[in-house]
Amino acid sequence: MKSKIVTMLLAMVLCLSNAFAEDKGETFDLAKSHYVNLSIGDATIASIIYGTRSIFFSYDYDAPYYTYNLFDPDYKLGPKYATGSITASYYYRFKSWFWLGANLSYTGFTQNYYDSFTKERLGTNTNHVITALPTVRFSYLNKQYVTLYSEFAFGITYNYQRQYSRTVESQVLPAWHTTLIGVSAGKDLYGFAELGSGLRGIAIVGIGYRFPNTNHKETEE
Amino acid sequence: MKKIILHLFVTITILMGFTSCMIESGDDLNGNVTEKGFELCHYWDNTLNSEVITTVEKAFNLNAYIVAPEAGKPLIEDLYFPYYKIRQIDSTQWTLIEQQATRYRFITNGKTLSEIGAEWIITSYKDASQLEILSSYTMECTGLSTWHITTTNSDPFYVNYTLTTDTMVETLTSEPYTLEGSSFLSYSTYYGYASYDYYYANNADVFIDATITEPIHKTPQGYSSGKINIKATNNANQEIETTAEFYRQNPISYKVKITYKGVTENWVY
Repeated sequence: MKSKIVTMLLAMVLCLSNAFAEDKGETFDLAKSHYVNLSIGDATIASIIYGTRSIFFSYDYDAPYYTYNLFDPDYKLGPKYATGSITASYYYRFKSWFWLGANLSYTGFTQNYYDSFTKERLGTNTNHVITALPTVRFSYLNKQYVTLYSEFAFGITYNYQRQYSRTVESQVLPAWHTTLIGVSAGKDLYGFAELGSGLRGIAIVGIGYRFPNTNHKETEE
Repeated sequence: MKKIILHLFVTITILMGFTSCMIESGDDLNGNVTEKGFELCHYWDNTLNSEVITTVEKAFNLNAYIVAPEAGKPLIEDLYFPYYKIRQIDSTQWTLIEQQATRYRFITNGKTLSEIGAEWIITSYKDASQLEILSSYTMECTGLSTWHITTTNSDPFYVNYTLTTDTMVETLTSEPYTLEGSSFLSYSTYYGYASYDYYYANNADVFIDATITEPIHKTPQGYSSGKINIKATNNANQEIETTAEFYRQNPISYKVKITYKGVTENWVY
């Protein structure tokens, strides 16, 4: 089953690259360009680390194993929601195959809490995860309209959590993101999709804009 | 450029709509509301067992050893003291040694525990130095299979229970007993099931004030009857209170009726 999925993914990549095969041989800007991206990914990894209590840890939260303070007001928690992982990125393409950049990501979690007896909403617990990731990207298919790439990022993340009107977490921790495969299509305005792992998510889509270097010409590789 | 920014904004907003999701379903808002009363009941039960019953149990075990014929002593020792060495200090004092450390000391008045008028002082120690006492209780036989259990020098904490069994027992774990009286003990949530340490940073100790209003009957399977008022306070003078009424719905179903903040609900105990 796995080999079928890998084969299908490879076939899709090849089809995509063939679709732009007519560009081969043209001369156009690739290196020395600036790129800005805006993307959104799922919040799976951030949820596992910061947002949820039940994926890795099978605590029994039913009485008599409550973890709350016995003297807190009587709360009941509503559903917990996560935003996607929203990322703003900047890249500078030193070579057609070598990029350096930085990502700034945000993932948020919210959960209302209610008075157990009156059912009145008392407030909202929030958790904000902001991640800064210096990134190195290697692109291995560099067409005018399509690029295939992988990237690695390691940086820091700041987690700010408020529960029941109290700040309960405010910490900086190491963070990472790996894009196993990414594909972008378009010229100056482009869209892209990535599969990877890290605080930016597992599946990511976004759009970006390239500020081409008008003084530099390079033939595609 | 403005158009691009507008497009970016619209796209991200739409994408967020797709990627935002619910990651936990939340509590049942119409579910039970007396969880804390139920929790408090467990606090009392845990404290009673870890601080009182465990020690009293050792007294019953040792009494069984003392009254057993010489030939039967090894069996009692294997059964109740697999991790201890029993030492008789003199005619009235006994100790239980665990890994070269005295864990329990029993000072009797020369009577076996089943004799009316027997008075045993049982002290448990935290470590080998015997400098730190975990607890110290006086157990007095006041009637047929009836013992008055009180604390010794533990102000402000106290235990004042009367324990009654059907017959003279060797152990409480497999025999039914009845409990009456009251206690004021501490329960440290530091050792509890805490995932958020900050909650407990300032008010880790919970003080459990319990008064049995109807005798509590305990079978080896659970509490089958009885009623108790339990009040918990902490260092910040916060307090919560509950009433627990135990009952047995059928031979295998033990329940407790919890009244908390004016609401009464049934829980499986």
